[in-house]
Amino acid sequence: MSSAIRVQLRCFSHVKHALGQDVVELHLPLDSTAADVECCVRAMLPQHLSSMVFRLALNHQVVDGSAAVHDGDEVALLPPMQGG
Amino acid sequence: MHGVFTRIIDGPLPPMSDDQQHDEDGAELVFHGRVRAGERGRAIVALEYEVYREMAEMELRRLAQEAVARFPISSLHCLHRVGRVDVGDASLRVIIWSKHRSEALQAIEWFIAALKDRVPIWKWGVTAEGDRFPS
Repeated sequence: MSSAIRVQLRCFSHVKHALGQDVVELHLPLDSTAADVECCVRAMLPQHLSSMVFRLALNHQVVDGSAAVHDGDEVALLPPMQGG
Repeated sequence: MHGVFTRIIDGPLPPMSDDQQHDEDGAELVFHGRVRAGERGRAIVALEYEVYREMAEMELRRLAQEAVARFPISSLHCLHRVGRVDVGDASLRVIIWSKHRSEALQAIEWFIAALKDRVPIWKWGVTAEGDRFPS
């Protein structure tokens, strides 16, 4: 059994601008949470985004950091939204 | 059409239809959100609206249903454009029908504030030189 999971990170707005990609595949330990994903992604972001508050979406639903992440899940860090 | 109708669309907003199905409603409140010529202190020629479509379509519909449940209004229609929208063009149309104006005015204020907070859509400014920057 593998000791890691793969999740697909969807990137939008400032996250996409910083990472230069729409989608990034992340490899995480088993038993990872949405907060672990955020931590991993924040480490890839530039300093000027360190104070930005993100919401976490797991398979198209907003979740809190304690949500368990599984192999094959789709995760997004959502910057402050700006519709209208 | 009574109830809610929501769409995220890639092209221009269609012309408004002459809706004859609201004889019980004395108020028809129409709001258009338009693109301003400046964003974050920079002159722009357009905004590009980016969308997390799988989430945004669900969330927009959920918000419209919530508005109809929360306020005594009979119908709410909302169209939101994504992709490039030039300065001066409308990116958003909300129409609310209700018996009286006050409930429609309250509902639209709540709905647009909630839309800006909960529907995963983002803006990128586009300058005359072609630079794009997340807003």
